[in-house]
Amino acid sequence: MAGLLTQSIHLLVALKRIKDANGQDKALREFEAEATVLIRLRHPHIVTFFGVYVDKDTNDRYLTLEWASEGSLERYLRASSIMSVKVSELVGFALDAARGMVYLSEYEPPVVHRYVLVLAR
Amino acid sequence: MNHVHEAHAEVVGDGCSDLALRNLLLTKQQDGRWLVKVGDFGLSRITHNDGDGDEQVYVTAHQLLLPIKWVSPEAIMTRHFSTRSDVWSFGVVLWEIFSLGQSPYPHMSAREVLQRVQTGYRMSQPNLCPEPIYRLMLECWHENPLRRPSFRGVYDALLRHYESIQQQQQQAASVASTQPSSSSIAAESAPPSMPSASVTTVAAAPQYPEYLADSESPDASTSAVPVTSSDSESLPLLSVSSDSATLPATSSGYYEQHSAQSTAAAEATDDKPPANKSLDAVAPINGPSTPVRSAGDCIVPGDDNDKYLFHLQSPTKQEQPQQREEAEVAKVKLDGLHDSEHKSEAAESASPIVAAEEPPPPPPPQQQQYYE
Repeated sequence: MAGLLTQSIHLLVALKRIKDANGQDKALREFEAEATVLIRLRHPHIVTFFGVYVDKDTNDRYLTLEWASEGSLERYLRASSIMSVKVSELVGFALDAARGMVYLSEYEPPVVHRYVLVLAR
Repeated sequence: MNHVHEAHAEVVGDGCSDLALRNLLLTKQQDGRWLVKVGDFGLSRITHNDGDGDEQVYVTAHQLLLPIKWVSPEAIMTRHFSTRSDVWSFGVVLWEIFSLGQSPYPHMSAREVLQRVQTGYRMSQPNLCPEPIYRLMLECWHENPLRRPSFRGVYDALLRHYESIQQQQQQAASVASTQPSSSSIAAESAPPSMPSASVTTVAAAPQYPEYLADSESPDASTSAVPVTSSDSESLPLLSVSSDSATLPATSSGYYEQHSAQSTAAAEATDDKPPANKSLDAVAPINGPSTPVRSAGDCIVPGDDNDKYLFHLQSPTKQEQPQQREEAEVAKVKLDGLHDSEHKSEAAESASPIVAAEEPPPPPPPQQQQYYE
């Protein structure tokens, strides 16, 4: 067991399925475009994109993304009480998101490379 | 205003940045601090210089689904997405945050929103929203994209306010420590627009509810399995969930329908330059009165999963023999135009459940081989 531990990478990821591209060039291109954008982005306030996984049986494609441990902010906020929520906390959330958006908006250069990264094919 | 490069438009394809509260995710850092991340921002944030100033724009193809309540009016009409149209969306996200996750433009259908926003309507100030931040929202929603702040500007404004709040809290805390009855003082030093009820609880409020960490999994529509080494041989890294593990059902529905539609559109119109076409198709933003397109062009999808979306069709788009399922959806779309608000309400409660019950696709066999 211990030996296995040293060899495993413990990493939770989220998968976003792009439904069966089915050989359609356009769908494939879109998928590649998204993967190509995402792979270059690295920022604490941007969900990290690890790579692409293709299910050869179904031809479904998956983006593997960083797992967000606490779920969506929307869900958290909806469960909050207006009486107990701290305004500073809300501003902090907005600030985090803005930080990520600053990074995205100032990202240079917007070059397109067309390829699909397949993890360890 | 924008010169369009067809080549770029083709590469970029359609799709729009999908900046909305539902795409903000929460993570916990090692020090326990919570971190918000922008996640799953949709297809292609690739932009290109339009050679006409500093604005980066990307152009969508002829057909797309748009989350109308989040998208700036000029982006809806011209289908040009820029950083400045993202700033508009961010204004809506701000509104959502300070409304504690309430859906924007409550009690309004996407169609109404489109019409009223173009005539100057803006959402009102949420109860919890401090005045400076509401002003920031309004700036993000400026009719003229170039008059909106940049994200850098948005960030700076938020940071200033954040620091001033913290300063006030520190002052309130120091006053409280020297003076036993301090609630009135704390109230005075808090932002003026806050309801007094919440002001008095500011200092005493718990940092975060514990429920997220303990009582249930973070999101019903998501799944992740903490894989231990002992059983990790077949699935070392991943657990496959439904369409989008990080997204609520609403968004994943968007992507699916989106790609299906865009493919059909591509077949119909691939031979024409998309950009010119879309420019011709819509009235100029600064044209007289409100160039809302006719009802036939704007369809509110009735599908629950697409409650946020508005379906814009190219005026010249030929009727395509669609799959039967699509035809049914279209019928619902038309029927649902007038009571789409009720549908939205229903969808509100229904979608998460649907997402939860939807059986995740079986993990792809031999997944491991791709990850070694």
